[in-house]
Amino acid sequence: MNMEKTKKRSEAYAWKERIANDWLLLFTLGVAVVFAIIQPAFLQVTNLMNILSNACIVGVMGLGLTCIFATGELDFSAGSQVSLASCLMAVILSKEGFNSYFLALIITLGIFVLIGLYNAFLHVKIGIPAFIATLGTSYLIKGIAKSLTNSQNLNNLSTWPESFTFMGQGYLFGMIPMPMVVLILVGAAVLFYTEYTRAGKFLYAVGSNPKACDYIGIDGKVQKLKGFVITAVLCGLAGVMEGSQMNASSPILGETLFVPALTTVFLGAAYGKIGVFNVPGTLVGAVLYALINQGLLMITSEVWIKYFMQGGMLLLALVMVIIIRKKGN
Amino acid sequence: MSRENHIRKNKGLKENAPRFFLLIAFIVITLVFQIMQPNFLNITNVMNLLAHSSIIGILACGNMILMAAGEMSFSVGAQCTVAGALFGWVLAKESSNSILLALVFAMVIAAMIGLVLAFFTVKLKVPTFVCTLAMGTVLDGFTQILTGGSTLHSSNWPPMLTIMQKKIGGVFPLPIIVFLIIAVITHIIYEKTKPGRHLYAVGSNPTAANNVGISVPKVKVWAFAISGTFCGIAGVTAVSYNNSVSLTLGGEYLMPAIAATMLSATFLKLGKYNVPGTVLAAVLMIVIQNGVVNAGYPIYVKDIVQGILLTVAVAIIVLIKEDGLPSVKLEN
Amino acid sequence: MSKEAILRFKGATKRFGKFTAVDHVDLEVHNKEIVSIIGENGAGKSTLCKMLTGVYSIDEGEMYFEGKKVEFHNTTESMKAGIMMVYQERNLVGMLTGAQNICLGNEPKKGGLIQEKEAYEKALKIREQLHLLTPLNIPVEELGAGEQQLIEIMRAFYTNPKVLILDEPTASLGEGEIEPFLSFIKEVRDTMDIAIIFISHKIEELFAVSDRIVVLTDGKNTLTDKVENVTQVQVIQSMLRTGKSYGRIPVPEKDFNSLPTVLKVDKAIYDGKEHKLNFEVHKGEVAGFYGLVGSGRTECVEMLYGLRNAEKSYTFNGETITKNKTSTMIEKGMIVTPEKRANGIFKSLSLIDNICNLFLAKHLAGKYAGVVNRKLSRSFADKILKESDVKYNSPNQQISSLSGGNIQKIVIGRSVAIDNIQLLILDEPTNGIDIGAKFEIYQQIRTLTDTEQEEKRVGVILISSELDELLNVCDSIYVFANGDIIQGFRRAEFNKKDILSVAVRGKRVNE
Repeated sequence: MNMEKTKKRSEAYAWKERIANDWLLLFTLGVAVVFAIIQPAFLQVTNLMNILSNACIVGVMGLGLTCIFATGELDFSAGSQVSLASCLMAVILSKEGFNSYFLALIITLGIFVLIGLYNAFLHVKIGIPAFIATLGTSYLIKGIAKSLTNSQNLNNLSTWPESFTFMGQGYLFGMIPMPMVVLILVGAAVLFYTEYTRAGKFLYAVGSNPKACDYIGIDGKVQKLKGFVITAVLCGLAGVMEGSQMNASSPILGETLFVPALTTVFLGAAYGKIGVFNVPGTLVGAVLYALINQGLLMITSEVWIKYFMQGGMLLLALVMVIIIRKKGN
Repeated sequence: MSRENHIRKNKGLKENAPRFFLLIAFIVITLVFQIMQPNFLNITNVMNLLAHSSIIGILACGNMILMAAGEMSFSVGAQCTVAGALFGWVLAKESSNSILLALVFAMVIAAMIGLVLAFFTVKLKVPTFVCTLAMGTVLDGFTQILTGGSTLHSSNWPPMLTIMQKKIGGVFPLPIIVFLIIAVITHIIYEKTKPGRHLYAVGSNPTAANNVGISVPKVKVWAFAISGTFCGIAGVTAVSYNNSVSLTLGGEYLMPAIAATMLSATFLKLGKYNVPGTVLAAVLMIVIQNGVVNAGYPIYVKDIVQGILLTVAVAIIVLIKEDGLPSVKLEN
Repeated sequence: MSKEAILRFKGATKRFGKFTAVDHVDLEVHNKEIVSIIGENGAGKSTLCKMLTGVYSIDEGEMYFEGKKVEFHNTTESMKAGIMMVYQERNLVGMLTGAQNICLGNEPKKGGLIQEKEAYEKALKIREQLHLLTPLNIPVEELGAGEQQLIEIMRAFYTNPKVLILDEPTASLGEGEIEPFLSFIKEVRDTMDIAIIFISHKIEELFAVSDRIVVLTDGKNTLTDKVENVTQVQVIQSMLRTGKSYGRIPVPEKDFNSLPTVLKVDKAIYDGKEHKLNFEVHKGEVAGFYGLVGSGRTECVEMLYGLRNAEKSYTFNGETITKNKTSTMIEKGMIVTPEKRANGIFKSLSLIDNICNLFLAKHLAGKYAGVVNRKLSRSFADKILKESDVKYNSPNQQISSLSGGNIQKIVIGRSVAIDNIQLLILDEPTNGIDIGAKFEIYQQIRTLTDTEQEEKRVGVILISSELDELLNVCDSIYVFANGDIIQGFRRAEFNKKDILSVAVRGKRVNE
């Protein structure tokens, strides 16, 4: 008898929880509806697919940042990492005779593992506060990126293989934009990692309460190391995508993506019940961001609106997270 | 046992060296550039260099006040640009001619922006580094509006606008004087007055400050306001020196300004932000930038050197000081 | 000593919800007098002081200062009136000198600039008055703990206080620093025109220093008298709680000599000194750790569990351990529930996560290593929640929405479920929990040690500051003081007064 009551209570509770959780999702859908009304062209399938493609780069960056934020640390070098990745790919593939896009990709991501380890070394081993350590790293990486391409934006070099633009501009089965595919695949992988594996549980645990981790034998240092490496690899991937999308490389474009990426992460934290950074939320945040971005583009072309929107969304997300956390207390 | 005439243990070279790391680095780097390009230390170049570092230096002094209070702001660059843009925009109007008025206007607005930041950070307790980044982006939007999207230069500007291009005694560009005045004032206030002392206490140990009756929130709000005002001064000085309002000015200066402040904590009193260190570091940042170009190296080398310098300097502090560097954290 | 009390508190009462922390306490202090307040943990000492300084509001009672009725709403008001409190923890600005710290907040200035020389001289004057020699011109972070304490006391004198409250002032002092400090306080009383309130739980110190002693027990004032009129024994007697009646827990008699030893410890070196820790825990035994706050029980446990760097050698289940890591100790079967509940749970995570995070290594991996099987996690969590009789809505709900008692049940429940559990260490598990829930925890503990199948019995260490609780539940009690174990008592030898006296005096019963 008691079990039944508990079960019923449990079900009712679950529904309430679900609505509280998903408000961000509902809001996103609401925004989409509003835009569709203002500009009917919005609803075209190609347009929607474009949105998801645009969400890709910022989304993948955001996913990386979520992993390190979840452990309670910051990574300031994310923006420069993105730039570096696009430059690395451009330069590796510009060598005569080097034709394998895939191999270049592996090499680039491998280098980013090292970058993540470097950040981890500075913070975990030496003990430099994460934000200062990664600030220093961001300078360093910015400089290296510029040095690779001689501060130029490299554009559609003839030595680049055909496949260079595939990830950014190509279509899977001729229909689905590759960026969207990448976002879905990476999103699924990170989601799986953080929600369904031990390692993911550890990651959240460290960010939630490092002291409690000590008492149950979870090593915070190792988790943070993983966080830095994951961030670096994902930012690297985002940079690769960007280069592919633009068919060019830029040593500075990554920095402008940092604030939008942060926005997706904080929107994601507002999505969770109590203001904690989480992967599902970041994905929804990325979509919401891309939606608003695209929608605004369709309505107006004023540059300053874009700035207001970016900064404003982040501020709004921050305030929401604070309110949610306060209520949770 | 009396320790009245307590003679501090004479620390050996090994222990004293880190305190002078910044100075040593400064001298070494300057010499290296001089060797690479003997023209480096000629008067025109040095003055030009110092003029640029003055603007960063003013920003860094404001930032130092903020960091000494235990806070942080990544919007100082954008605040600086917006202030400059406001200044230029006001004076571009036919009807206005008073530079002084425009200056005051820009400074006040910049200070008020600081107050808005204080509201979010101190009152609402929003994570400070992200909040200031967001605000910076919003401010960039304002700059876009004010300048119409590109570098602003107006023929309506009164000739006195370019006052910063004047040189004292034919040699010293005015911005340097402005910077020195501000640095000296900041130093005196920070080290030798009650408000400055209380500011330091709030950043160093808020509980201790609270215990003696100092209002921690109030001090922080003031710090934001002061930092904002300094941004205003820096922005106006830059516009005057360049005779134009540049969109990217603040963005370029943000990182060196922050790095300069952090590096100041490696000078003399390890772990304590201070003005002399900030001045030295601000100049060092531009020395690196200028020297690199002068020596014929591509500009990006400056990023690499700055990055390594920051990392090494901070690593030294952290390894020596038990409680490391005062910093800001992301709470979950 | 003047006849008129400078500070008088009549019927002071403070409640937190249903709990009465301070219950109609009368307190009087006169000029040139040292009044000590002594009491067990949670007796109300620090609450009373917070009422005096304005940190807490007064629910009932009247405070008179210099003859006038007053009520302070914050520390600024009480400081202005002349009541200065020196806290237990140090709070100084490290890189400022002693003189600068002393004048902090009220620096002498002229023309806007701080007059450092004047400040130094003022500080020197205070130092002279107090007959101290602490250097004032070096950064306080270079001073020792004792000297830092003196700087804080000098700071209290900077604003000419009329009443000085010292909260556990000898807590951070080293061996050789306590005697001089006590003499110093007595000198202050003799030479300065102030009243001193001295809070401590170390009875020998109080007898050495006080003019009058006030004993607080369960928020009530159980004894107030001149020090020459009372004996240590009488004070200890009045510190004994009236003992709320929990139900009696049935504790079977066991012959511990025949039971296997789970843990045997002799001594260890940590925090810069050697600690004598002579104790044993057997399977089927509940060993209680008693001691006043700061007696070193938690530190000892942290050493055993790998959370505190130490030079040690102890035997756990027959194995000699000299190096340990928490995760390895858990694998060997030792598990600790932390003293502060906040350190044991993941506030922002669900019940499932809070339970299962402990088991990710083994249990819940599904077919593929590393993957967490959600269904398994959920059913495992459900099992633990049911076994622990926790009231909850859904295992997915956030743990912070549960009551303290339920949270504690989860922490204990998950700890008990580890593979191969040999020794369960509970650090103040019933803190802030209502009577009913406490009783359930006691029963749960005894079930672990008294279970039918002898091989399944575990050892339990129960750290508590409630002596009654330990007397009820434990098979043996080890008493801590100053970081060492002073004496152990078997259940047959349990004597409340004796145990308390060991804890308070730091000496064995007949010394």
